[in-house]
Amino acid sequence: MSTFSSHFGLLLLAGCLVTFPGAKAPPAQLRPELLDPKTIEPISADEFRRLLVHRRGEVLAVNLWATWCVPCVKELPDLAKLQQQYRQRGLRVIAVSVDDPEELDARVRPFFRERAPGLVSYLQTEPDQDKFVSVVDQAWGGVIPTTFVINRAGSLKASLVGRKTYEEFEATVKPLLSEPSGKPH
Amino acid sequence: MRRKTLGLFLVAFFGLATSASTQPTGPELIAISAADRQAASPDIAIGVDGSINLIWVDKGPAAARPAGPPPGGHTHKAYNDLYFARSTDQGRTFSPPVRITTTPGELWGFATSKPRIAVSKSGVIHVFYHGNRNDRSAERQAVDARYTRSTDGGRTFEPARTLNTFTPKAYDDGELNEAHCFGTMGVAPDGSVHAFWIDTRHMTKSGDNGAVYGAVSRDEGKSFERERLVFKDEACPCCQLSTVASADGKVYLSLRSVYADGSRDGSVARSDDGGKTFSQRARVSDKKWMINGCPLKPTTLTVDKDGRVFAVWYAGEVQPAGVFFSVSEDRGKTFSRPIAAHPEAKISDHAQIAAGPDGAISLIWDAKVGENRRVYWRVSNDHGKTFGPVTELETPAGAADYPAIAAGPRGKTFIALQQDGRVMFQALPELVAQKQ
Repeated sequence: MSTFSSHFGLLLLAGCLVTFPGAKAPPAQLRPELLDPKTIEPISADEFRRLLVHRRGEVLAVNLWATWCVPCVKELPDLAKLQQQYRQRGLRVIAVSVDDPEELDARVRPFFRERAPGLVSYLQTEPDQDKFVSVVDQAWGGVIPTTFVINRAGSLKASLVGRKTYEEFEATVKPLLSEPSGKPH
Repeated sequence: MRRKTLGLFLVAFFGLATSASTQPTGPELIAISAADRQAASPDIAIGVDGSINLIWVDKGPAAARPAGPPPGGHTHKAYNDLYFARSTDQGRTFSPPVRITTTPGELWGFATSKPRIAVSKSGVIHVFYHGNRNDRSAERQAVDARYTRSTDGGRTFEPARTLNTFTPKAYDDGELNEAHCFGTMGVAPDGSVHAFWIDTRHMTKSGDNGAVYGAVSRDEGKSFERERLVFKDEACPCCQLSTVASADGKVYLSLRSVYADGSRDGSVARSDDGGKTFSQRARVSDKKWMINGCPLKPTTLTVDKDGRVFAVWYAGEVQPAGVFFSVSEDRGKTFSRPIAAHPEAKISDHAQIAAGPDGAISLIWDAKVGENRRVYWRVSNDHGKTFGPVTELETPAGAADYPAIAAGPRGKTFIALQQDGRVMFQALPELVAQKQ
């Protein structure tokens, strides 16, 4: 096993039941554009929390990216391919841009449209970026790209730090897709 | 009990003072930036006369931004201003903030690319920052390494000078086409000023590593020698540099190196000839962080009076990831086994370090133990072999982060940090008092 693979393995938090804060609260009304975004939508931490609750029952891959992060941009096509390959089995890739909200129209939307058609993305708007990411992982170190993999029950199962290959993404999500749905309704 | 009472007093006092502008909020905790501005990313330097000199990034009127800390999100475009304030009474009061940058929006600066300040023995205040060459209407942006100084105690600053030549990179990424950024500056005991920055000019394709360039002034900033290439293509292009000069005239430079095996780790190089040439880089840790991403993590340095070199950095290869410390007893050739600063935290980051005149090493960082990031510190009185307990800095509730630290000539240690969109200051005499 290579050093890289070994490290990747350590990052897998198999069996770790880290549910995002607020998961017990019933999902309040979400803006329709957040449920089915046609373009990159700005999203707050609270909206993101409710969106994740709404998506219970699916396996989620929440990817943090930015236009200025070359490794992030290079892995977007792999995430798009992953989404296409496993959508029918219940995988949803959610890309979240950590670009400056002021750049949304001029830079981020056109960039994403060109580089990752077919992916769903949001742009986080919290003044404190850490507050946003803490919805998924309290221990995020600020590195991008990072992809958080959440099982159908809403538990964080892996934090993939740095650019990953398609095979690494697939190896992480595939076992979770076989698990039964944890959706409460 | 006494500390708790003092903390409550400070909290209460701070709460009362947030509506005032640059007024002392208590005997030790002071809001430096104006209440109606969004401020972040402070740096601090102490003069030999004990003066306390602060700079910070000003992000505009607070009313134009949401309440709370500066907005999230990072961009390759930043149009901020650089401010300065000074205390000559051990931090009891500070001068009104002075804007250093003359063109509004000139500063390309933020938490992960902080402007730097240093004071030489003669009292000259040196400031290094990155500036936008063009205004925000330009489609292609360029960022320069800029320097200015004050010879009148910070009342005025000279017109800033650009230290780099203008050399665009070989390909167009459609945004930041020429960058001399994520830099640092230090002042040697002989008054020479050493500035370094990460440079994009040798990049030929997307994903290339950065070069490190430097420029030296031998006359306290009156003039600078032409820039020199230090490392051509080994630097993580988004991790800020750090430099420090020892009493024996050696100049140390740290960067996050990208190695052939893909690891990105803190490394230190030494110059024995006043910054003309540098040694091979030494890793601060033998553990490798295999990361293909943007860590945005510096390795910060300080030296003590005996020439020991101390390094703090963020290690992502361990769980939990966080701040580590190491010391070199052989002038930066090798580093000791790393010590975790705060292993009980969920995450720790943004560490700074200072060496006091009595040899005490003060380490400060932010970490998450509960919901919010808070500021913590530890002190070593045996040259970094061991550290005292982790102590949380007493600041008002909420997130407090990005601390800066400097040791004064009389044994006091001072810190600045950002909280609720303001830059705060605190004197920490107890850091030295808590010797083991």
